[in-house]
Amino acid sequence: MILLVENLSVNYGRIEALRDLSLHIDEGEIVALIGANGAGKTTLLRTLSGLVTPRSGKIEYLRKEITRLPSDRRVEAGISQVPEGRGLFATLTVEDNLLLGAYTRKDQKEIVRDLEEVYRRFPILKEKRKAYAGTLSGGQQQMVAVGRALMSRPKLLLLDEPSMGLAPVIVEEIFETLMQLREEGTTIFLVEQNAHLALDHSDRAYVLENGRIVQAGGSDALRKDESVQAAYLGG
Amino acid sequence: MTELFAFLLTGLTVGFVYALVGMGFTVIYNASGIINFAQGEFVMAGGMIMVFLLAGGIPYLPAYLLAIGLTALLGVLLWKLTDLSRDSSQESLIILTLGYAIFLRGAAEVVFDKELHTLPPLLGEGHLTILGATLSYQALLVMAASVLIVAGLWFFFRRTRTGKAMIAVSLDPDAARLMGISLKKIWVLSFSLAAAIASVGGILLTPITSTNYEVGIMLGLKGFAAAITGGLSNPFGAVAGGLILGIMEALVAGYLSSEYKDAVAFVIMLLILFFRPGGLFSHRGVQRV
Ligand SMILES: Nc1ncnc2c1ncn2[C@@H]1O[C@H](COP(=O)(O)OP(=O)(O)OP(=O)(O)O)[C@@H](O)[C@H]1O
Ligand SMILES: [Mg+2]
Repeated sequence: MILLVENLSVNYGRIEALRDLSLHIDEGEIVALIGANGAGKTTLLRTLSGLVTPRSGKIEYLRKEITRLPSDRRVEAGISQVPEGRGLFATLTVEDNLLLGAYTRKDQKEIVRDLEEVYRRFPILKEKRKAYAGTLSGGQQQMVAVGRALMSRPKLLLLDEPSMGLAPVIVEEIFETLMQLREEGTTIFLVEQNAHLALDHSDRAYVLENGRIVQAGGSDALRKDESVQAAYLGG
Repeated sequence: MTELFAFLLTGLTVGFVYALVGMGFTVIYNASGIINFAQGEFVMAGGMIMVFLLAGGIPYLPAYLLAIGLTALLGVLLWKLTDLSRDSSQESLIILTLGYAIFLRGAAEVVFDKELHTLPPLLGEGHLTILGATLSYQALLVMAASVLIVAGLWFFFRRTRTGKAMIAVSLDPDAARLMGISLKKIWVLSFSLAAAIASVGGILLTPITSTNYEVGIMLGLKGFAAAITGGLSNPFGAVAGGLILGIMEALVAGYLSSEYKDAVAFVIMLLILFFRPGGLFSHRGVQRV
């Protein structure tokens, strides 16, 4: 098991964003989390990365408790996130953005190799490497965001709505990359509002409503589930 | 003509010190969103510590390094105070820096004294004559050192990993944390860097204008005006802002009256805040936060 979350509760002041949430992810899996606007998806990912401190509950990563570990130590340990809205550094170049993804690493030679690897995955980024990240198209920016997350050599990759606002062709390309990454051994936790997309590309899934997990199971089974169909798959 | 040139040289010399103080404002603001009103006191601390180290018989170079280092520590101490009250609003943190400024002035008065002090010029009393105007070696040194510092910072922000991490933090702190950048380290660095830069300004300026426990008030406000003029989140804008203020001041003092000199910075700052709140170099008149 790479990630274990037990009875996690997160508050923003008086607002309860996550309540008594438990889930787990095994190594090599793609696990999806679907849920409507404001369900608490982003809050969960931010808590997993250490940007938000939970009120109670426990997070274990590779059998070690990380509930209160600072965010930089989590990146070092192999948890990397592609945040909602991408979070690119708009006035830095594409290459600087990618290199910041390797901020916690010291192995300069390997970093250069991984940079080439990102350029191999997304050839357009090599062409644009001297451009300011903010000048790229939405799809190219998402590629930078994914490439940047890969530069830390993650064991567990968290993605917050990677399809948001992108044309279907680009979404296809991004998800193909995710499938490749899984082949290469990266474990993926995929947060999506687009339930079709998420269930089509995952092994298992959780359904989040109002800060609570209301359903869990194999993605195929969930796709056939009536209540999931009614709420998330347009009938 | 010679007169004008002499005024320009005076203005540039002081302007570079305003620039150094102003850069300190932007460096801290970028990293933490805090406007540090103790910035001028770091200039004072640099000069005063230097004066008393030399008086204590410590040779020039070690005294120099020690004065910069001790002032940087005062910067770290301020960071620690803001960190202890990190749950407070940005406004209360800014007021905290004002309190720290008052504390530093008081401490300087107690630890040192209330007298006016000066330092021997590093390169002696000599001067150059350019187009009939004289420029002391010390003024030349202020300019040269400032240019070096600005260039060094430029290199730091554009070319080094840590410098880019600082930019990343200023652009999007959460995304920066997701890169594994520790905000705490960046904050400590920004406070110590801002204090160190200011202390160099203080040490270099003291042989020209003298120093006492209170000089930080005006220098801090002028540096703040420089930062506002150039844009609060733009270190290199602050350099331009500082030079503009320094030159305008020197011209006003030269052609009108030195009584109006100190008003210049504030008039310019108010004009900027009215007509270009993001600073001279902003594209849309907006700024961070
Ligand atoms: N910084 C914050 N302060 C206060 N409340 C917040 C904050 N961030 C989120 N919330 C609230 O917490 C709840 C969960 O928000 P969250 O962003 O995690 O949802 P989400 O599932 O990611 O939604 P979306 O699909 O819109 O991205 C919402 O009610 C939201 O209004
Ligand atoms: Mg969200």
